[in-house]
Amino acid sequence: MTTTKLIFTFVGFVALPLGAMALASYQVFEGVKEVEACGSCHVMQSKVFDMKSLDAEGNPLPVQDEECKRGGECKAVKLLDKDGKTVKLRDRNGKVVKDKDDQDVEVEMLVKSRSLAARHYSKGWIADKQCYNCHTDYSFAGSMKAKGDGFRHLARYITGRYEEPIVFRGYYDNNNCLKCHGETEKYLLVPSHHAIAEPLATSQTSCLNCHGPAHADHPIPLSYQE
Amino acid sequence: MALPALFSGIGFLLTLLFLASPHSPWLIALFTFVAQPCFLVGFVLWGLRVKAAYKQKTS
Repeated sequence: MTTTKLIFTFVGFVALPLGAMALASYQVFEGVKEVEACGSCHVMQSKVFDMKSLDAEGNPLPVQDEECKRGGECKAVKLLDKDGKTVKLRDRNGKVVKDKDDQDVEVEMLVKSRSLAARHYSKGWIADKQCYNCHTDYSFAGSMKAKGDGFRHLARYITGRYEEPIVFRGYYDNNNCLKCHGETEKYLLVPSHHAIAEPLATSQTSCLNCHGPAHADHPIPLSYQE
Repeated sequence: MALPALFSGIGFLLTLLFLASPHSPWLIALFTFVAQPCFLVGFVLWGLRVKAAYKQKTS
């Protein structure tokens, strides 16, 4: 084998594969943090749709009236201005948009879910990688545990060894909430937070007991209220 | 060099497939459990070929 051939084959069988593996492995470790990675599994889609306030088909939710908010029949309602008149949809030139029957299109409000995930998402309180940020415990061990959990999920998903509906295993560490909220003035001003400080710190009492639910399991969530 | 090239080629193909759709759990599994072992096999076969060529040259 000549030296030139040796160099070429080294590049082809060692250097390039190592580079490809490094690039793809980086993508595995970082890409799985994205919401799209969690949402790629159908069992997670309802939770992602709820977080983004989408319906079961992935479309923005229509407006829901008062009866729907109370858990009754849901039907769309129109956005009203301060005079009680329906607001017409206009294009960027200010011209009223017409539908296929040449009727004015009226604006429908989007409704947001009341789940914790949806409220955090719609307010932009977590910039990106929303699933990963809430479901990863603190420190390096937390990241490794999250990666291990993700790998276990992947293994179960591709081998089909799971039952629906899926159930959260273990407990949710309150520190995932307290790492952002624990030092805020709003949190510290609430007397009950101090009364149960120790159970909260050890996750014996879950933040979700009072502030839940974290996710909505059904595709028609309640309307969001300030 | 055909056999090492075959394994490395399969590894590259699966890696490219994964990079095209990095959020797919199936492609993650294919890359982790098929592509990487293929690369490893290709590397080992290449190493054995180089070793055999070196022995032939020195004998």
